[in-house]
Amino acid sequence: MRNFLFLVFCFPICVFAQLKGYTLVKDVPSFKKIFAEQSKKVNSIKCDFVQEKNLSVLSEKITSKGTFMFKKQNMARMEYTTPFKYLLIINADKVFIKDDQKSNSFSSKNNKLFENINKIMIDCVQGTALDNKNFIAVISENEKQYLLELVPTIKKMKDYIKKINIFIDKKDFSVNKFDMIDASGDNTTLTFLNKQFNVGVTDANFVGK
Amino acid sequence: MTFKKYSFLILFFVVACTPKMPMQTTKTKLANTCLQQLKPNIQSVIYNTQVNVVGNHLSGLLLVKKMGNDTTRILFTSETGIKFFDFQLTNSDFKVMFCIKKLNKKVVTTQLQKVFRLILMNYGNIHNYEPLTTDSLRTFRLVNGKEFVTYTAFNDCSQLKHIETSSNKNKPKISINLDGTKNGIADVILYNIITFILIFR
Repeated sequence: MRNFLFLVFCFPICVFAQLKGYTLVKDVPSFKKIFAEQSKKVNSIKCDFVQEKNLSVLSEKITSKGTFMFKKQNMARMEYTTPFKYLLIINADKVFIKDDQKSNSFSSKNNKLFENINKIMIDCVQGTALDNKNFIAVISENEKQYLLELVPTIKKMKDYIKKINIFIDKKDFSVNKFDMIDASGDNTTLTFLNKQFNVGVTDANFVGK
Repeated sequence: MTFKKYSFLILFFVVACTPKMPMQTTKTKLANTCLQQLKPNIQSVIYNTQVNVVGNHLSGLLLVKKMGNDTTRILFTSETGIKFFDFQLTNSDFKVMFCIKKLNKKVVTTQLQKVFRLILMNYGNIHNYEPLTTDSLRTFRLVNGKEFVTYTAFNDCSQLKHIETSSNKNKPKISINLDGTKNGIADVILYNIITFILIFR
């Protein structure tokens, strides 16, 4: 059940939809090198996010909003503010979750799956997602963005996630959008807005209260 | 609207044909009308939902959407977008459109089906009912197969307060508390059995 909880609450942080008009990147090693180099310049990220859940049964989307923070090495905070309050903090191998009713913290250390997922999440932000062996990655590009298409190879992940698309801004190699397509084919999109790099994020932001 | 009329016809038919039924006195007609008033009139509603199941806590969004005729879809996703389940409910049928493996056990889906039917007042074949009234509350005990289903509402039939099932009159099996109204259905729904608690807000 803990695997399950962790997957449910943490995995979507590194989430994102596939678009036409992209062509395959031919020189993958060069892309990886620049991606990693650019990401090294970033110690912290603070931004707003808009999440849209598209359900096949719905004609409308479920939209929620909040703030996202990341700090090297392994700290991430996702705080939903509208239309509900929900907080998720990952600090190394510790996970803290707070919803309307209660807060809960647990360790991701005792399980291989936890470690893998934690790594993917951080990889997404740190620019090393292509090195993760638990996904098959395809990289393509258009004028403004790179598109990383990640298909999980681990069965436990496949049960929940069909594919993740990550859209990366060519200007600064930061993540613009994640699109996660779940096992049933519905998708959840996270769009990151008003990104601030290396400003106003401290360790205190990653302590669950 | 079709849904509501259909349910009314079921009740009326039972009243007319079952030997143990009370006669259609003014009092029982009022009871029928009251049950119809209490029946949720949902088009689409989203609940902020918490689930405690066997010592674990889950939270997310529960969507209840009427798809036309007597079909209702019920979906539950985490706040971060992972879908837990997607059920399709009709008067006579229940389909699991999608359910994650951890929850896709017959005992869980059957129980959830039952809970949603009770909340939506989609209770299948009713063979008997008896209205019981106090000063402030009005209670209807329906006989559904081998069990009783009890609906308790404000005396003016404006709001459903409690739903309970029991195998006999003293042992409750499912207990659901409701409060307020939201888009034709209760604003807060609390379903609680020993190892399974669902709260919709």
